[in-house]
Amino acid sequence: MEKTARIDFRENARNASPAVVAATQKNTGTALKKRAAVVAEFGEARWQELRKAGHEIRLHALTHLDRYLAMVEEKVIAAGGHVHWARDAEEARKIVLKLAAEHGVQSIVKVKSMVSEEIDLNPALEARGIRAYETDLGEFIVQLAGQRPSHITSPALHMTKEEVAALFCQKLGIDACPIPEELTEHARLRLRPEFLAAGMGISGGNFLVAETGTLVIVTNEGNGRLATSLPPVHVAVVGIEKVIPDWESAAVMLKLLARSVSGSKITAYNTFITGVREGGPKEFHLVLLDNGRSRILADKVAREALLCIRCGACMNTCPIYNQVGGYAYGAVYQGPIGSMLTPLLMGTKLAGGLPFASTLCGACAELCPVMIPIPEILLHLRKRFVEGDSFETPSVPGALKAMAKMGRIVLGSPALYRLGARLGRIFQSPLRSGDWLPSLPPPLNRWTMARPFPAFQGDFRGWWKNRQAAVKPMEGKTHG
Amino acid sequence: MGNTPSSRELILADVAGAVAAHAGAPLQPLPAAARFEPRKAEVLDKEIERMLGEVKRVSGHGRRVHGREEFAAALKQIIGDEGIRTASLSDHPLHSHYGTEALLKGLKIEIVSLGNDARNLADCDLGITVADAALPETGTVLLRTTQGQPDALSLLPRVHLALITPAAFQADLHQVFALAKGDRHFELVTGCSRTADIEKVLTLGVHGPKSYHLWICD
Repeated sequence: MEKTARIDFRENARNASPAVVAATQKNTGTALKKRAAVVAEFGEARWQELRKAGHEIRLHALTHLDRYLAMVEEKVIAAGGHVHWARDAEEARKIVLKLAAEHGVQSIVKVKSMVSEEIDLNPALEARGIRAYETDLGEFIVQLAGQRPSHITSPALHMTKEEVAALFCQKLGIDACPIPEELTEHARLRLRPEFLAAGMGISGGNFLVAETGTLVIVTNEGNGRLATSLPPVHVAVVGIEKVIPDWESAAVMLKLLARSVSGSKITAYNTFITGVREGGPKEFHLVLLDNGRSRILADKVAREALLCIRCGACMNTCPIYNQVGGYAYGAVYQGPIGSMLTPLLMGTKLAGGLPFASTLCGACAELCPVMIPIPEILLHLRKRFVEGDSFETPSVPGALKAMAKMGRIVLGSPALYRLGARLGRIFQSPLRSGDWLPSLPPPLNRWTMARPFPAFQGDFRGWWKNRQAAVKPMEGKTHG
Repeated sequence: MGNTPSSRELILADVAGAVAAHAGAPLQPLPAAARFEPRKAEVLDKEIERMLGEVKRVSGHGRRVHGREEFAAALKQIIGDEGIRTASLSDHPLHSHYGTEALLKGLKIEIVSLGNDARNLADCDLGITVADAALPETGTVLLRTTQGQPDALSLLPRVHLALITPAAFQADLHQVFALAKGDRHFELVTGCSRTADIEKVLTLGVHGPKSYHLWICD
């Protein structure tokens, strides 16, 4: 998330490949159907209760985060682990690189982690001559393709099996058929020796249970287990917001997560690691990453974005994400969660367009397993972008702000509104063609570039008066 | 230099500042709405039936095994069906009870020692574990990692066979966590390794076992 160029969502969306969009829609549709079935089986009323519990747990953890972080640290150290604190991406990378150098690590196996993407860890490792193997199948595919994940839980969601087969033929030098089972077997054969030879395993973490300092990793493929048990050193880079208070909370969160991510009751593997164990890696290092999270926490409206458990359900249901695919968001986190997190982490100067990449339909909030009020936060971020606040300076030109202010005055006064409506009808005459205004001057031409604008037909009050006059005789007939 | 605050101090100070309303106050318990009533167990036969149904649902193979004779027959069958040549098993009293190792040797199966290095199991065909708890709601087993039952035993071999006794059945995750939360490492396993990363097509055996069997041993 260390981009310095402004994210142009509109331009990215325009360039979205139709094939990517089609593959995205096919895959998100399947994910939504599976989720709906498993939630129906759980029972709608119980599911809503579970969501409420999840919301309360995450909110409680965030509002007492300093205490729970200190608790995690104490428990991990007591269990023989090491705890590192990273204020930003650079510090996190330095910690990992230092550990790799100290242990003479030449190759690393990695478990899918959005935080690792956020801190741009792989390029830093490669620059030091350390091979980093992404081992989640989807991540392995996008790594081979030199891309980034287009979805937080299904990184290669945008690719067809034919594209994956062609990629394997080109990059692995094998004869690969476009059959998912065969492609998966190729990945298994390619990666198994790397698990056995790696000097370090790097993971993220789905949760940190403060009660015992336990790292929880949720996977389906088994790569998470291999990468955190076979190499002699395990490094987990985890955002500070991932803390949950206790094991009762863990039970709730796991039920919510699996159903929301994959439409299954539970994932194939749930791994629980507390410090160092006999027979496991000799060292366990936990890197606690802030990278803007404490700043988000200070904003009472936006802080609920930190409740997110990275299930991806909001993306699957989002009409915008489904029309443009993940790459249009131009950052690590996409869809509705990306539209909140990216500007919060990078600032609205660079990512201020993303909160506008939403219809505010609320479908995301309805599905969110921890009940994040996504539309409210997006509106809050739009306001931040336009007006500025204690966190951001305004990003909108003064002229537009003056126009908005004038609009507020005119619409707030009946007399001025009536006058405006009359003037509008007069001023539109040169632009009018029948019932439409085919083109408008800038900045309103951004609308008419795509479609004509309907002409002002009259003022609303006049229309309402005429309508009432027309309705009254009808009402008399109905009741007579 | 000595007075420069560490990243730890700075992060904790930033976080404490952000949640200032709570700073200095004692840690509050979680609100009642944060608690969720755990599932209640049904009668054991129904729980076993549910467990087997869920194992099937995740493409696993579940069955009940009554007594030593049936265990020996089941072992012979899985060896044939899965083409097993090498196997490894945990150090557990249940294996002594059934004489699992002797039965395997009798079937001309080479026993791979657990040893000190998990990598020994990389080419092993079958890993046999004994689960510490079962969750019928999801078809899940709890495997507590010990020297006698390392994590790799249920992960590296091509086929994973988990044994469980009905006494180990638990109603919900809450009870399982109460049992294992003091451990340094444990695993909840539900079926075999799987993915749907390519066009959402379910594919078994990505990195871990390609086949999963659960036997409920009465």
